[in-house]
Amino acid sequence: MNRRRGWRYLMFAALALAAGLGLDAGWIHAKAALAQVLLERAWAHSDHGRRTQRPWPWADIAPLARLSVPRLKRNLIVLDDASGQALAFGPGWTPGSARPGTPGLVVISAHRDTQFSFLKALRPGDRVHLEGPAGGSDYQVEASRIVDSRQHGLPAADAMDGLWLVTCYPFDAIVPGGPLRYVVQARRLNGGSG
Amino acid sequence: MPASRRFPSALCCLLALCGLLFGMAAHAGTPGSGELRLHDRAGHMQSLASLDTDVEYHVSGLVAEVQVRQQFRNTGKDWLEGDYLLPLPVGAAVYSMALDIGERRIVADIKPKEAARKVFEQARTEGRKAALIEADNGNLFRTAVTNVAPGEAVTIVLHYWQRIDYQAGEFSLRFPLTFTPRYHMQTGAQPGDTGIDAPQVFADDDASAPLRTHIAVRLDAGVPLADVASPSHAIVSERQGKLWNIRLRDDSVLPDRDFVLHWTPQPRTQPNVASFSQDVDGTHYAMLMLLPPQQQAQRLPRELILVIDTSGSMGGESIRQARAALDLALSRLQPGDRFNVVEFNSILNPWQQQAVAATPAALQQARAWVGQLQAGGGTEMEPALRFALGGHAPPGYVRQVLFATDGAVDDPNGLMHLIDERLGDSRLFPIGIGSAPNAQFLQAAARHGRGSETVIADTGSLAASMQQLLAKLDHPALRDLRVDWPAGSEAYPRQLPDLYLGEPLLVTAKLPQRIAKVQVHGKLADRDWTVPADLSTPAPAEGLDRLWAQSRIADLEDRLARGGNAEELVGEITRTALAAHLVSRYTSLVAVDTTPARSAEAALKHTRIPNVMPSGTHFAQTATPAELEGWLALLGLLLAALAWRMQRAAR
Repeated sequence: MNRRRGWRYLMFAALALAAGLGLDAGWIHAKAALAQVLLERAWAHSDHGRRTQRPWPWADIAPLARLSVPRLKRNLIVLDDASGQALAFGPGWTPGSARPGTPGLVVISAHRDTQFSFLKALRPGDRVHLEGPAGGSDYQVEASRIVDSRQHGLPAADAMDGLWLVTCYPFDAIVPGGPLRYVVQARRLNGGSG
Repeated sequence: MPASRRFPSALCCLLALCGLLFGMAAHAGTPGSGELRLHDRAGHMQSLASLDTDVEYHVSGLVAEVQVRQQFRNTGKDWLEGDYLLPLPVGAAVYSMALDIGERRIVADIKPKEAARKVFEQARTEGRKAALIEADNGNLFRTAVTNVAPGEAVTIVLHYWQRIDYQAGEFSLRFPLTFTPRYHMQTGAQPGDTGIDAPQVFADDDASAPLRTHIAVRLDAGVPLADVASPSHAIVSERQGKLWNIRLRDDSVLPDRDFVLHWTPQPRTQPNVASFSQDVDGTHYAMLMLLPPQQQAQRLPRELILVIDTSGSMGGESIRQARAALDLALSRLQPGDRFNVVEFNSILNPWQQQAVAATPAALQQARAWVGQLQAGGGTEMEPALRFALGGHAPPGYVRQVLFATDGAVDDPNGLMHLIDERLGDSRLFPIGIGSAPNAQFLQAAARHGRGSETVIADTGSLAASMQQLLAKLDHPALRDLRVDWPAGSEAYPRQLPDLYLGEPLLVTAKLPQRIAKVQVHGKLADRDWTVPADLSTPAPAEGLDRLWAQSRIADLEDRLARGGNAEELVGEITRTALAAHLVSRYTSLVAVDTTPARSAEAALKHTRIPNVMPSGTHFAQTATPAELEGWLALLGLLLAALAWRMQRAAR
């Protein structure tokens, strides 16, 4: 009889665990989707990222630029920080890389399972448009590569004139926090000496 | 009875699976190595220049004279100029620079910053070789060299003095080999904004051309040593009588982390008092180091206020470290102590409105409360400081405020004013959290809060750093320290800090004449404390004049930061720096060759030597646990189904 109760408890515990984990997983995706709506609104009021416009009153992030990929019909608001906190809501610009719209290397990261799941569909030749406080820039995808973040850091902001879109690799890895990154490298087309 | 066997084995399987998954998640974080390669704007790789750095330390007692030689080699086909951001230890008094071209040596002059830049610019356009060193921000210096011929190598040799740290019976020196990208980059500061002059450039790790660094230390500690060790690099040390020669085991290292060296005197020879003196042009300089007797006084009851920054920037590893640090602090409280915990991000959230007695029940409650804190929201530090410094401890209690933060704040000056105003009897101990806490903010907060800062570099060192801090706090401090120097003396630091267990008093003074002794006064918890310090047989030392001037400049800059008269203070800093031949925020060293080298037709190319990113600066974390959680949820469902079947089977 005791054994039966043990199994029953285990069943309820497992159900609760499953529900909790499932809800949290759903919440991560919901947050990513919902935040883009609020960010879209904040972006509209930010005068192309020139004014700091908080998407919600207690946010410590603000929209900085808009990233679009016409071929894949993607339109994303980029945040001004790339901390784990910021990336839960949207793609983040890496502070220390060039400001969006200026010459130099702009680095933008996002989660592989939410906003940047489309990176694997980007092909060389694809156009990417980035609209920021300093104006708009067009980029052309040149290559994608996989780097090991344990051995490689990000290059300096004036090392090249382009855009790096970074996400985790492999795309379907179950366990987060792996060392590999998928980097889409794009060249700037207009402005500067591109 | 198959079920009785299957139940534990199913559980074991699940646990093993979970363990495996989480084991995989905790991947090994080997630091990345960086090397130098230059790119031009179009993205083409240029390996035109390289820079070798040779660092030579001559340590004598509590001061060190350091020579840094930077060899800039032009391996390309064009005339080249280059510049490099050189981090030096905080408080380094840079007093000399020379430009070596083959056999010739050109010695630099000290000039006001703008004038030095003009001289350098003129030499640049006239095709003459020139070198410049100027202070950038904090402890960053910028070295620049121009008109280097194709295939040529020139060397910049600079010298500085620095003081050696002495803490808890151990001497140490730290040579920074790279620097953390400065935080105001986040708000998009541009070159020319206050606080940042030169653009910060880091090397692309892909590259192969090395940025080599050699370090050698000649150590004359003045006392017999028990041990010499470096926690940062592999070293080789040789003893020659009372001298020690230390060098890096590898011929050269990649400058991606600071070089740290510790040496420990033999137990019975640990110095309790030491004085050094130097006469320069009839002026007498003295440096006094005094270790107060280890205070055996009983542990004082205390009121401990723990403040934790839970803003969004503390997300991830940082908040875990901060929680662990606070938990350690709480676990050390004893019956009779009082405490409170405060969390802040955009809003202030105290655990209790008032400090409460540290009963086991209250402590347990507080630890549970700390355990559930999450990072999120903005950083509104002012109300938190106001709250933490606002309370009063009952008589007989010492009031200590521990403040765990990454210091990512915009307006440190306003906060410093607040600390000055509200400190009262409290003492503030900032704890720097995260891979790159704002060191300048932490130091300033500790200085204004009359405490000391602790930086937790990584999770591995968290327990040790916190234990050291808490051990220090367990013993009452020696307060209200002053030294009665004779009239006409000028001693720095002007306001002496409180001293905790194992911390020495270190003062540099300019005296009108030699004196035999001074009295040092202070207050222990229960009585006044006075001790004479003997200055009659000082060890002769060099560099004291420059270290004194450096301390004076630091004091003037502090007054400037607190809102003193800018014109007057800047003038005073410039005069002090020029008189002592020191590089400061307003003075630079510049050396110019007299003979033109580059003809007007030959073009000059500019190159910036990138710094190597500090080890641990990485790509952002770009995966969520959503997928893992999804699979684990599925696993949970399977297990529930299994349990349901087993339950029916056991009926």
